[in-house]
Amino acid sequence: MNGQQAHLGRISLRILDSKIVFVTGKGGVGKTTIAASLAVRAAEEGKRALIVESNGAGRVPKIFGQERRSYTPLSVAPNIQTLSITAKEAIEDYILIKIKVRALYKLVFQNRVMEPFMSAVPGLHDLVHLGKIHHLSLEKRRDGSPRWDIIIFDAPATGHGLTMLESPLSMMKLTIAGPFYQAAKLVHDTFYDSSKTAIVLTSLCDELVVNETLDLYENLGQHKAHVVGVILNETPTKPFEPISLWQNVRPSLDSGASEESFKGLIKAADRAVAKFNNKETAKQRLSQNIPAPCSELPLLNNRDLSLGDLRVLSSYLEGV
Amino acid sequence: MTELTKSSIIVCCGTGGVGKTTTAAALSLILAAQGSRVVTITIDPAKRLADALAINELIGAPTPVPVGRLFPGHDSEETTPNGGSLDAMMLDVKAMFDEVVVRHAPDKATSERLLASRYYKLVSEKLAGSVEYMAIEQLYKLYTECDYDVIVVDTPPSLNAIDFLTAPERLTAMMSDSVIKWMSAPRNPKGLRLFERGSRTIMTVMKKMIGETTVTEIAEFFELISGLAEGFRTRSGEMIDLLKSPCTSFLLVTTPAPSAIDDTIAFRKQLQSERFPLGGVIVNRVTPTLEQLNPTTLEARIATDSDLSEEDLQRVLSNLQELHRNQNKQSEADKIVVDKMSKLSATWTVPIMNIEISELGSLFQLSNNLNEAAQTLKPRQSHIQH
Repeated sequence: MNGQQAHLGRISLRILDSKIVFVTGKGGVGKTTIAASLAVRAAEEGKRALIVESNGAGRVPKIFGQERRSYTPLSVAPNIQTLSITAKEAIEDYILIKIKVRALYKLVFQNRVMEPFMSAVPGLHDLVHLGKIHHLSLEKRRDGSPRWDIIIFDAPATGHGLTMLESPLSMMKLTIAGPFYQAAKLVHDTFYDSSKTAIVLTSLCDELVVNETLDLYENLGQHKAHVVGVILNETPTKPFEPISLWQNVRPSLDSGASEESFKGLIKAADRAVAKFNNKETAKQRLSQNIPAPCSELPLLNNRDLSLGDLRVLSSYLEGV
Repeated sequence: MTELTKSSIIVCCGTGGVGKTTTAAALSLILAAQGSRVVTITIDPAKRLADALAINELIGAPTPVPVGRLFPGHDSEETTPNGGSLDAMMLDVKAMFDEVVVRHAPDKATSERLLASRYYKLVSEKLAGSVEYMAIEQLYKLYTECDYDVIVVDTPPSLNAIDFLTAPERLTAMMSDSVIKWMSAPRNPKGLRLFERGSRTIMTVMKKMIGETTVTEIAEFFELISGLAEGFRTRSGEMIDLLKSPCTSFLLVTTPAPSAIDDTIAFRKQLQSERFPLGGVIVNRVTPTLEQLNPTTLEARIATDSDLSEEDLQRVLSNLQELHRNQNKQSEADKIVVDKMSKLSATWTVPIMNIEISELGSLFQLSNNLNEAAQTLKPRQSHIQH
């Protein structure tokens, strides 16, 4: 059992050796925090990291204390840059690369019919996110070395994240052949190649969230997408040492005309114990169903994270 | 106006992970328990919640929830002792879209061609805003065709809650005249003359990007759907009017986490500027404050009633004290957030609970926390004259 625990604890797979890390999971589990912690970890290992967020959310720069979002890389900490993609900017970017003439671009795309049209091409908004990341991953410095060693993508939540990963295939189905088909295929090949892209699932120690994580894993498997690891966020610490102490003293607090203060405390202790037990169950269910290793991040009690908090979290990701 | 148009509407909004779907279901249940005839539309519920509401199959029509069972000795399955009832349904986006196509098509040939087109099948569920639009369509349908006191609708998870409100606009903008004229230009000599230079260039670029076949298919799709645009536009105007009318309340669901609260405040602002009526805010999973703990009493109690070694006794005492400290620290932080929220709008809190929703009973237990919210949001008495 101890061996298993160690295996589940600090793990030895190398998420951070991948060029692109795609972080997804149920909404509200802390994808952004995890993506940021991975970047801090990578930077501490001397890597140049870029965190990319979707739909221009602005959450990633905010964690690093930057109020503005930007489609061009923004330095937020030593060796860490962030970039926020919006579909509109990415489409513009792509077309400019393709047709090269800005005047022509303006004629075609600043036409007021274009935006609704772009919305009508299914998956295009998602695809251009991946396309932009693919493009970023190929950028080089003057000396020929890659501009970033690692690009961490704070991807959309479960359902949308999956749709996004499917978007190159959807586009290939839609276009059948032609330049857009080729472009979509290139993006597809990057994100479905485990030597280039690591897909990381984030979860909480909560039954419903674990269920959703397992569903997502299964769906990704059907698409032959490669999940390299699961990161459990907000794992509770042991409330009692040993945990059985609580069952030992609980009856004494719960007996007879118990004071109000004890009632609240009992509820709190029950909840803490249940949370801890849920964590064990969650880990077990994940490890039984997902062969990829599982790593844990503790629950930090301050809800507004600082860079210092990210360093604490990233220390738990040593070796990831 | 007929009696039928008197339902109250509650739209539950919030970012992912705050418990919006469960809150919407719990609120519906407590409204039914208070005597209203309620229908609730959920979008992609977790399996257990769907089980609890007995709506695990996608039926696309309201199904009665056996709320009578919650009241021991009450002899009806489908009503509460004071005449309330709850119907639940899961939104079926595809079916709703097909229905809308059939309704707005100028003739049968158009709707049949559209429903059969490859492009329609590929895109209808994926078009930007289509889930949101169909949720509102479903809501509008229930409002105009059925006789409920309250309609509660859950909204699709999205990063920006405002996406829900702009969905009809986005979907109809896509069908707007200019797009349609432009897209159908190659088949329409008049349109081609109007847009000649731009149109030809755009077509060339588009064909280069996504291929000739696809462009032709998309053009055909737009040509077909242009016949529906008028119906869509009129209908979405009516739907937005309904959502802005006094019978609608938007309910914002959040947790005390700063990011969720920030989103809620931003959404509240957007609602206000667009003149959508805000019913209030529900802060979910609030940490309750524990009463002060007297360590001596605690120690005395544990020492008397259990046979722990001195070492274990000290350890469990310090564990409990730390638990107590942490909870109250969290509770303090939550309180600040809730106070901030209550200054902006009617705010109700739901404490963090030790229960899991897996059947109707546990949902009912949770819904008791929403008693006050339901009292405020429920339709005025005049609406409930069955």
